[in-house]
Amino acid sequence: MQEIEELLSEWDAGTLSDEGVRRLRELLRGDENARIHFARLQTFHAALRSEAGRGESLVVPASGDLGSTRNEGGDVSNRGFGASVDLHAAARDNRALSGSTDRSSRTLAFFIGAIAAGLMVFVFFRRPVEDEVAGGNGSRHPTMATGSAQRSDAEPSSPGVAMVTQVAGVDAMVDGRELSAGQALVPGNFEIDEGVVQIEFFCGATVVLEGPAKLELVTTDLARLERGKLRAQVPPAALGFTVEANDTRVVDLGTEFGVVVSDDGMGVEVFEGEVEVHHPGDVARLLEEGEAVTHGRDGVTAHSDARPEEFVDVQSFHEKVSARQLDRYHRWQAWSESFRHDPRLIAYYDFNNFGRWNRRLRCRIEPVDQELDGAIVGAVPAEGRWAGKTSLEFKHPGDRVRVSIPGEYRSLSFSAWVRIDSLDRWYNSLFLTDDYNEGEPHWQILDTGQLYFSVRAFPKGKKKPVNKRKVLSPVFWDPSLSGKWLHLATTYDVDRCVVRHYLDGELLHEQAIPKEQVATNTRFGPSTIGNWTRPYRPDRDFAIRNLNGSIDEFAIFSDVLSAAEIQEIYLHGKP
Amino acid sequence: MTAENKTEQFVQHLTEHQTRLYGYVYSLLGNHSRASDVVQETNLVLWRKIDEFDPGKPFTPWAFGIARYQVLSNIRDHGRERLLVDSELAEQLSGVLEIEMERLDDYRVPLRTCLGRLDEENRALIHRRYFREQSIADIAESVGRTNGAVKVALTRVRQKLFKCVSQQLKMSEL
Repeated sequence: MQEIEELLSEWDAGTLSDEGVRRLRELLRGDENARIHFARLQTFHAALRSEAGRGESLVVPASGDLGSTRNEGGDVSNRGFGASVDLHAAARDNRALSGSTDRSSRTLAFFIGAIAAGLMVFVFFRRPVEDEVAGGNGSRHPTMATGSAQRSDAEPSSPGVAMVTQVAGVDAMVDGRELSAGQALVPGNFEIDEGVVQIEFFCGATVVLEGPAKLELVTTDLARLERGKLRAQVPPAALGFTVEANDTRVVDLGTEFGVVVSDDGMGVEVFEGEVEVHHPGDVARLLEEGEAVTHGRDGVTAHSDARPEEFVDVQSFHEKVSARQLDRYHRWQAWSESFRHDPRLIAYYDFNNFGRWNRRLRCRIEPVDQELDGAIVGAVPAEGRWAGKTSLEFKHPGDRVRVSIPGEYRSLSFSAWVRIDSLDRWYNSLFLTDDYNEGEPHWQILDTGQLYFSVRAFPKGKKKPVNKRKVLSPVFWDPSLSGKWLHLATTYDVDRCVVRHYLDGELLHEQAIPKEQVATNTRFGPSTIGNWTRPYRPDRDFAIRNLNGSIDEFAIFSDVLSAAEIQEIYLHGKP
Repeated sequence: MTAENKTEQFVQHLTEHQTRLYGYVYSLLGNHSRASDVVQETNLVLWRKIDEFDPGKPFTPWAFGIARYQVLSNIRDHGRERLLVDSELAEQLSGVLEIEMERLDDYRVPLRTCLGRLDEENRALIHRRYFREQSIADIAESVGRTNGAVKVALTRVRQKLFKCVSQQLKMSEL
């Protein structure tokens, strides 16, 4: 035990040799008590890190009389939460804390700021923006605005200032990704040629931006409209939200207002509450509900009445998005009607329109074959790709769909719309035959985020050559894709001896298999979607392979689908 | 419960768990910079899964479960870098660590008592290393001692503290 302590001590000091690392691992690997001791020591260290500064002033002087300054205000957490409604007090606290180097108070400073801002999101946004920091200069550690991040192990913070919450009719790439709801936005220009986007600033203000428009995001409570039209909804928590347009500043005083910038100049219209308009060479003017003012490029100022109907508001925008979703949903339905007649379909489940206690999953191929209907175990209906479309949600280790598919085939293709919440298991099932006998396929996702397909090519018990039939895609999933609908497809071509994986209609991976390891006759029998069902055998491992997520459409074909056909399935089913 | 209430509770839990999560993640990664990254990622995933948050259920196992996943993928993604433990050992350790970290708060009171028993010099040493996060070299420079001497002094005072805390907590002998 003494040795573990010493080794950890060396590690902590940064002086543990490779030999020491090996020794520590060896000690821990072989002895449960050693691991318990390790856990105790590490917990003790964690407590030490958070307790060592207790009783100290929050603002630790750069060079202080160590260990002797004791004063009030050590209990940050109470103060932090108490300050949740007082923006200015919180801002003061934030500044006061910025001089401190204590990790926990830094964390709290974030929370205080976040709570004051009425939204608790921004501290969490690290991953989605890490590659897009400050024009992609490769810095993985953007320094926090409040300073105190000189050391390499300083807590990283996010430069994110807002997030996109609804999108309609926009075809824009932001930071190399197709713009979609849930995307975090970093300071910089945001431009759309058409369509409408709802942006929620981390201060709590919601902006509906109509294209064509160009908006510069400056901070969590400041944006500059270069051109286009926006409508801002600002709840009391986000008071002070500011929009700059040309040389005019519009400071919100708790309200709903619109700003428009065109070649002619800029205009502000107040639909509710009041705003302060700062125009150079003029005193700040208060603009009240129902009023509008324009500042022309020619220097002419004009007053008029506000026209709220000219600006898309959040509610009608939501209706528009829903209507668009409904439209997409109906188009998919129409396509699905003809799709189900494809003679190459072995089984097709559309997961649509089933109630909570309908435990039968209808196979939708035409002509109808009820033998192919699945039995739902545990899993419950959830919202699918569109509002109104159901999917089946797999959450618990027992959740599954049992199917039994007769017949013998040659080449195969699999296609599924899947929402992965997380990859909890080593193997996360999409479709697994019960036994993994000769000719039986297994389609699943590894916890590493790789798509994995294999067909057993040899009878059980026979001595197997080196396995070259397992086809593993590159990593396609990471937690940033959690909750997003993805289209996955895999084709097994027994004539050309090749397996292809597709993600969202694009080829993800292609791999040849040695001819002798290709099973030319394929079959399924009793199988499971979203899990694995095996006859009970006590010596079996990896028994739990339940998917954590939802499936919204699932098809198996007795042929190799072409890349174009897979692309077509994707485009028709895209949410 | 309103959504707002739920969010508030969630944030409160998450705030309260930052030290524990950090302790857990750091214990396995042994690197502050990466531990910070992984804790942030864990926060993000937890935030995304706020729908699954049930105020009636214990928060810790849920949060640790996600942290463990993040740690393991971090180890896998950075396989070439120098690490305290490998992924296999991380899996082995995660269970006991979760149990121990969950009772982190139990350590606090005895630790405060034990810290109070230290002499001024030792307390200052602990303060510099753990509160101000100074490196051993920095401490050595400012107190005019060698790195080696500071390292030894720190190890001793830490051992003393740990012994004192284990006695107070009446920990079983291993």
